[in-house]
Amino acid sequence: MKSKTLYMIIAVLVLFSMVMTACTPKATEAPVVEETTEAPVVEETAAETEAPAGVPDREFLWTPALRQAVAAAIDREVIVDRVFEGRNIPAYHMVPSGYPFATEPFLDKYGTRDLEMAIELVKSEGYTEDNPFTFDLFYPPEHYGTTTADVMQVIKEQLEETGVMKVNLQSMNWAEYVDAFVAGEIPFFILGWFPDFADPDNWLSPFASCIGSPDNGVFYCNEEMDSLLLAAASAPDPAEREALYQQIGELYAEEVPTLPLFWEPEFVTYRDGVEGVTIGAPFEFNYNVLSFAEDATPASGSRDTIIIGTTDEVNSLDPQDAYSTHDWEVLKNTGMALLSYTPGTSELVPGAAAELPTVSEDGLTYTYKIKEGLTFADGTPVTAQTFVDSWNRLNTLEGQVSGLIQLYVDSVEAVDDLTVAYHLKASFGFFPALSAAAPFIVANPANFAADAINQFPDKIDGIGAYRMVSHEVGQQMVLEANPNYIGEAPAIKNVIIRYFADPTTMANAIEKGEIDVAWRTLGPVEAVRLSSVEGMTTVTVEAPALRYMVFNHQYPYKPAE
Amino acid sequence: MAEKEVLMQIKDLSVTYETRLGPVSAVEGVSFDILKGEILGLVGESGCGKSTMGKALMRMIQPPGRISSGKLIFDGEDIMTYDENQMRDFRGRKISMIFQDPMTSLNPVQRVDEHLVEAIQVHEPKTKPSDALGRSNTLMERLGIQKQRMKNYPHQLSGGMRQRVMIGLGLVLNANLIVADEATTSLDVIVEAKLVDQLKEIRDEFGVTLLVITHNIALVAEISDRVAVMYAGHLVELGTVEKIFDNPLHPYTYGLLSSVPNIKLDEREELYKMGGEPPNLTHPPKGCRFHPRCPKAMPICETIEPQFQEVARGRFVKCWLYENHPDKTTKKIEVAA
Amino acid sequence: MSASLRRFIITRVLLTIPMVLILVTMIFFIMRILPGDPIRSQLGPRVSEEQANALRERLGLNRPLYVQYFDFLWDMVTLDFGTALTQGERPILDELGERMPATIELTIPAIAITAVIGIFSGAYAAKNRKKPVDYVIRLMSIVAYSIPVFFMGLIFQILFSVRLPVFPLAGRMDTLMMTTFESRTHFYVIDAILAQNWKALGSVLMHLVLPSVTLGLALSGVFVRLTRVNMIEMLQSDFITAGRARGLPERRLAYRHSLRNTFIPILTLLGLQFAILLAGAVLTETTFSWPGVGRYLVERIQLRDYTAVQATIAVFALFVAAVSLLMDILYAFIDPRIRY
Repeated sequence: MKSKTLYMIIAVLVLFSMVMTACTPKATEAPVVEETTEAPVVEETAAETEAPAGVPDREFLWTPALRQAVAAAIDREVIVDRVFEGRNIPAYHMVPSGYPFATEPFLDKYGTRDLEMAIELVKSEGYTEDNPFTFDLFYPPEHYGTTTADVMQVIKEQLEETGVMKVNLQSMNWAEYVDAFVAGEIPFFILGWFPDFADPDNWLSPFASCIGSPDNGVFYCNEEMDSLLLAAASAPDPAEREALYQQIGELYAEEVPTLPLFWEPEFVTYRDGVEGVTIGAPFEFNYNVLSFAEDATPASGSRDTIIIGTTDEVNSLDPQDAYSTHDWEVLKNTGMALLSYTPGTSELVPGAAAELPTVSEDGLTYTYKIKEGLTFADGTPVTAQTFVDSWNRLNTLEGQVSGLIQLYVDSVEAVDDLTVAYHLKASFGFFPALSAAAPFIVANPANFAADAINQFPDKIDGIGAYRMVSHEVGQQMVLEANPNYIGEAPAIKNVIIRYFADPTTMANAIEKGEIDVAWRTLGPVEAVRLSSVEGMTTVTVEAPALRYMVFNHQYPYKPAE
Repeated sequence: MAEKEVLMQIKDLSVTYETRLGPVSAVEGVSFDILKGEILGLVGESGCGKSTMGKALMRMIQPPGRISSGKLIFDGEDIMTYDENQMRDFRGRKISMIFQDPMTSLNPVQRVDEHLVEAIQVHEPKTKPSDALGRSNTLMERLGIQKQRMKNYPHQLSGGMRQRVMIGLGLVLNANLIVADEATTSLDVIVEAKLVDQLKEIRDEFGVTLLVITHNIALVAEISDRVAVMYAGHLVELGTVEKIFDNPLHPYTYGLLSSVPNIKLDEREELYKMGGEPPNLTHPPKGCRFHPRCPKAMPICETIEPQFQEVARGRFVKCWLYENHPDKTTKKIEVAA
Repeated sequence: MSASLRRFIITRVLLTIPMVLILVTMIFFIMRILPGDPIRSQLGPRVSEEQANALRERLGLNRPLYVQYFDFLWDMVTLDFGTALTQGERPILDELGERMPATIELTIPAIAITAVIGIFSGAYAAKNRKKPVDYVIRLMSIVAYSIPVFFMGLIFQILFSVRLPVFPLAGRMDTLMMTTFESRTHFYVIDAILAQNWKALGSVLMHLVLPSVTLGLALSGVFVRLTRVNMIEMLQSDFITAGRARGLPERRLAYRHSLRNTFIPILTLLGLQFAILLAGAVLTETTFSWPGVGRYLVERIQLRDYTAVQATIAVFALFVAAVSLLMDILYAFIDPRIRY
């Protein structure tokens, strides 16, 4: 081919793609969601045909009866057995059963399964065996693991067993998937959730509140639910909260904004001789309680260095920006939030704070006294002002996690050198649990500038049991005991976190003895394998990782399906 | 004519190729002598087996072909009994070969001097590199290639120069016999003429024996002392160049000579074309292989193969015209000495 | 260097520029045509639409396309690669500055292994054509290129690192040694030599063995076949026959004469394979937790991280062009017919 022709063709191709992208719509307009519902930006041309006899015309695809039918037709035990060999735990509520005020409303209302109820409900909407209720079910084939497709298949079978429902499975890759559900384009799909802080509110509001649900593609808004959620979140009295959450649970099973499926456990393996590996409900892995037994053979060859393997990646180590599990783990080991958890439990204890906070009468202000003599690892003193500064960072720098805290906190003030007060937007009773989260870890100005987010600092000299001394991105991170730590010095002086690209290599590494602990994400395959290998222990961690089905409540009903 | 010594005796040589269609007898039952210091021309059509013949002399027949029978006696020894090592030593040192296409016959990534030095070092490992280089330079200079050109690569030389390099490679180890396999076919006439002169020179100067394999009759006439004619794997005639051209005995030889275009301008005759095609050597004709095309064919020619016989001094022919047989009706033709 | 060679090199270098330009333009637009948006795919549903838009605003993704494009071109020219869009907004130059050397340090020995195994097995097979050893070599070459790279890597890892603890399991260097190792160029071999830290050098080299052997072996299959075929053809050629007629031993004819000539098409293939090697390194990088650029690219594409992908591919393209040019120059040196 002559070179001139070739260049022409390339130029045409380039021009063509330019035109194509210019014509494609870009960032969607944020739907303005207040207390009333609004239709999402979905241009669907509804066919102007008659609804088939028996099925009344309606605005939205999902009615409460249909949602309940789905809830009744699902058998979680079967899913868990068939796809996960019984490893996972059926979820009968959005809230983990280990949490305060948790109930099991779905079990109460539907039992483990009620096929008759499901059939009745669907038929009550006018559908029959000849004219079944047909809808699409979307899922991402890899993001939640390759077992997702199997789960979908079982669900499809279970729903179609009613004889009056027909399910079309649609797989869509993650990037597109997220775009699609946020834009309200898909009717029924699966998602996963991991808590930001250990309180039922974090498991309910994001899905069932008018303000939160669009972000998860739910588009659900119900006045009663909203007021209940708000009341429960801001009730100061635990007994009151319990009663309210009981009510919310029942309403949830009735309305089914989302449908909880099961909990996915995590696994951790540690070699014989390693002690102190405890990961409780808040899902915190504290390195400072780790130790080596007398007869241990440390991977590093030295008793004062422990090597922990992970397949996670560092996303951001800035406390006012970080928003992923591994990042928070590192931050909690190199720093302390206002409150902490006793390792392995969900008991809130003072962290950077000297004692548990005091609450104002109206429940809007939480006041914390800071421990005396608290300093960063490099000696810089920590005062109440430090906490105010950190809040300002979070509020002005718009990190990834800012939105979470800004939902609840209005302003922060330093009452005196050692006292800091948080003024909330409403009387959120779970604020103490929230204050144990990573965004409340103070940032050392030497590592984190006040005016910029620093996701990859060279060092972290925080207030935690360890300090970070080096970080080779993608390879390893080295933590050393913090000489200025206000608490008890850790048994093991050095921690090296080694980053692996895949769980199999990590499993091989612990088998070989190159690492002492294999943590996230070991995965069920490797965990099962390692549990039969001598010289190490594999423990299942009841991780609060939920898989749940989402109904898009504003997905339009199209009669001619 | 002074009686020349015999350098090499070929006795009853046969070369067979195993093909998927069956065995092909490319050369069959060929016997003749090569005399020291002579230039022997070996002619024939394409596919008659002359190139195979040339390769066979050096036992260079590669599978699927092989020398199926015969003896090759060089300087009193039958080289058919030599093992691989002895053969390797033999090749290049006793008999060497010049090829048709000098461009492809030289290693494109090797310089001229490297070619020659390597040949020397392989055969005479104790030679110092400087000595080998000296020898090569001297030799090539005699052949007309200056010292500066010795460092060139083959593609930097002209066709004629490359041919001279080839000759140099043939001479560098002082071989007794040089087989020139279609050595001039790829050259234009002027260069060819120069080369012909050169070949004669090296025979005169170095006393090398030459076997010139070619399909070019004119070349043969020009250069050879004796001529051997091959057809379809058989040697059909052998004799001095004058006698052959004066009086070709075998009908094929006669036809061959008549086919040569006459360069004289005023005699515009029709080109003589021999009828028929060379035979398929998987199923050669019975009896005399030429009989289907022979204008003088007799009944016996179709059934019994004639012998290659000396019918006069130094004259050999394989034809029933010159042989008697009980089945033959006519008497043989007598040949004058 | 002759004038024509100089001209050849200059022309090639100049041609690289439009080539890279066209390539990154295509990538620029293709990435944006692909469904999925970097902000959403990384953060998922965790952030509100408003926040997501704010983030897009901050990263300049809301500007009209042609503005973004010309900005991007200008950045390329000034070598300002910017920062990754999502998931750890590291400056891309830093990221590539660490990962590219890692991948290169892996692929160089891999290529050497491929070449050595491929060429010598192929030559040996060609010389001993139709004998049992020829069939064995051909079989092994098929096995080599049919086995998926990661599987081979895993097997080697299990055999030579876990079961027989000879080689390190993964990573570029011993964990403890790395805590005190200063890396300037990010080529660990070079850094270790510069620092005269011989223990570190030993560790780095040991860590290189399994991954580069895996990668090298996996790609050698092609080379074995190619070398063999070319050699067989070469062995039939006239100058080999002529050499044989001079009494040159078979071994010499095969390995010195044939092979040297066969080297020319092989070198061309080697240059091409380098590009494939960079891409194929992804799987090896995963199995051996090698912090290289292959894995980085795949991750960033999945995250629709425009800036990271564009920059990485631009660098890739430049690199491949450079290697290809180098091969061509080498080619000119090896084949005198091209040189003069």
